[in-house]
Amino acid sequence: MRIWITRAAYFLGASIFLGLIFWGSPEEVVYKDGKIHFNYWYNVGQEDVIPWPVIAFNESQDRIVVHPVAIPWQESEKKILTAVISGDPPSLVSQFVPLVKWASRMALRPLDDFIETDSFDTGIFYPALMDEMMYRDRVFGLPQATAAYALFYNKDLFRKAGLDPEQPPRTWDELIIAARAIDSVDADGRIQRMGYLPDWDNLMPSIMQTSLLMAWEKGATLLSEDGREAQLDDERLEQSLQWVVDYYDVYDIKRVRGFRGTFGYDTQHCFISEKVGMFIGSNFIIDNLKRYRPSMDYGVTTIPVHELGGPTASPAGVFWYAIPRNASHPEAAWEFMVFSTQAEIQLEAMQHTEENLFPSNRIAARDDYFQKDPSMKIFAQQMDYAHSPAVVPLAHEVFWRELNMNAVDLIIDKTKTVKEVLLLANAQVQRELSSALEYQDFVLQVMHFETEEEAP
Amino acid sequence: MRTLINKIMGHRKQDTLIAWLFVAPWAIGFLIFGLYPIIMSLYYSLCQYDVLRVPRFVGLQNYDQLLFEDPYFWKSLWNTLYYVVFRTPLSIIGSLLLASMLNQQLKGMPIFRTIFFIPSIISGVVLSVIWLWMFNPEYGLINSGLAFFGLPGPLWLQSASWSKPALILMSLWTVGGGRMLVFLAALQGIPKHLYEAVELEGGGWWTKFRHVTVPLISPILFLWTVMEVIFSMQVFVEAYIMTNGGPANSTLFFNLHLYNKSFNDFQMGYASAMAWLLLVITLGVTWFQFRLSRRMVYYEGGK
Repeated sequence: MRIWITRAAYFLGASIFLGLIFWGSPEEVVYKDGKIHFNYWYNVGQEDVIPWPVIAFNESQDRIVVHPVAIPWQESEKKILTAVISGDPPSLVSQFVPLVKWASRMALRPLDDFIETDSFDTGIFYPALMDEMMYRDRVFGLPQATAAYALFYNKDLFRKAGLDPEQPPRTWDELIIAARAIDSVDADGRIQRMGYLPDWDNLMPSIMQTSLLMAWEKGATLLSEDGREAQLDDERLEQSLQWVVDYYDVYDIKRVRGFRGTFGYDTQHCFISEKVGMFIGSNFIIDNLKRYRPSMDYGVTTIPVHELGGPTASPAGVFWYAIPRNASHPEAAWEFMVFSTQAEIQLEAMQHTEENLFPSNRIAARDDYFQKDPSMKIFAQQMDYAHSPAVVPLAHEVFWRELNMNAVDLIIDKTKTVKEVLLLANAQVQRELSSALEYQDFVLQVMHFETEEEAP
Repeated sequence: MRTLINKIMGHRKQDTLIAWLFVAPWAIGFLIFGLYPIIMSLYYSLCQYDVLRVPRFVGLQNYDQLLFEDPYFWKSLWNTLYYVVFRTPLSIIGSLLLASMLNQQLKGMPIFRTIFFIPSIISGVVLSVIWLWMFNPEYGLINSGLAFFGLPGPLWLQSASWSKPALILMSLWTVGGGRMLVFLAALQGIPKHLYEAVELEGGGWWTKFRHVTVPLISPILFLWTVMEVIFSMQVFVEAYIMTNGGPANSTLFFNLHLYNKSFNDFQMGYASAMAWLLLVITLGVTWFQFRLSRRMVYYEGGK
């Protein structure tokens, strides 16, 4: 017995020893077809389908094979982070968080050399989207697609409320009048329907839909030109938030909260379930409307403005491609990026994909496919006034937590005044921003880059 | 080979070597995946660090910011302590009551025990989604039930003052789980003659419970109180899935704040400092519990 135990122990020891010796990254799959193979990590939500550009690219040539790897969007950032640190990342990733979050951390390979060699025209993209691909004057990604926004309104509810369904509101004042007409409360005082919710979008509560839009329309940027100073205490944002407070003021806020508690995703989305008459959402929701409420008669119109003929603004949510640092096949990945951002490929992708996004390529959006469809035409128009949701790119997450969650909760519950909320939010965002800038300066200093080009 | 080792080392040393080889798989795993990250997180807590770039040593700056500049640190600590203070006694008392009921000599008792145990095997994520519906202020099961009796239901997760009680209520769903089983085993280990002695003296059920049951299971009660406090300090999943910290940060628990800082903001240094502070707080609370236990826990074998 004892001898067996001893032998088992030796065997175990030897296995651990050998295991440690051969411990390393798993051997790379070797393809013997002479082609370049690379992995492309893309985000998936509900539909786990191979992106159309990958199919088209793999069929279009016989030198490069793209292997698409679906990553659930909730996990995506963490997976990319570990892949980059491991030193063996996929050659191409796509994401929708601000690119600067990754570019500033030196996780991505700059693309300027490729752009120069190929004389690639970045002017094909909407400027708001391309601006977001830049960090310290260099390009780190290409816009793959975007979410385009407009005001959706339910024509049936307009008729019921005695409003003309062909005359949607054009200004914020008109929007309030229409919204109040649609509002409906039952005998017990419970809200059955609201005309408009100023802080709700496609999926979740979001302040960007109204107060941020209104501030953008008034020209607020909320960040100093040199990018070092957060300016959330801007009085234009304060006025816009006050508009939201005033909008909610006529309701019992507890009733509003109870009403909002009934919302959910898909069929339970407030617009799809006809609990809300108007909302500012992206083209992304059209597929859900077709799927869950094909009978709804709705219209899409431009986002309201302060005064007729006055400046307008629209949010945009860019999805980008980028090549992680240390990727093994950057040239092949670049070739795929260029291919898939062409106008015709983006148009084909729109037709082949459900739950689709809007093209990032301006030329694609000018195609008949968009111009003939009245709602798509509106989305295309809105994109010309698009603003990046990455308002303070280096402190993006804090910015959104402060404005999206904290600010609205505090002001509609009247726990704090708008001014107090904005000062509090600005302090938090500024602390994050200053700390990010300090860290950046430190990294540049200690890493002794040989040329300025090498620095992130 | 073996004789060679024997010659060099002698039997005793050989035994030691074999022992170490047996321990090796665990020890190596612990050193690499346990101790090393723990030590490194202490170092990173003194740095500004986002994993992707080199750490920048900043001394105690992270701790200083946490304690004196970050309003959400205190808010999240308060939320967590609130949760611990209410959840721990309620869950212990709930499990003990259930165990006492299931300790009766009735026919078909194993079936009841199974029924009460089943809810605790549901995963936290599924549970959160189910309760999200139960708490729905307009159509949820709870408020519909209250309305049936003519009572106005609160807004639960939609209200800053009711969100924490809602999550505590939800956590009591698992009172029939492992904790109850342990209590049940402890109750069954109490000698019958002690109860008979109480009966002979004319004592009722309360006397039995107070002077026999509680003292005899006090070591188990103490152990579970310590563990529950530690578990409750780590509350995360419910808030992450159901409320994301809202409304008005009323469910921003310590670990949710830590998660936001680490995996959303990539501030691993700051998050490490938070983790170390949580460890210190947990150690402090546990030490206090042990101090208190000297007077309140009865060990049959003596100490």
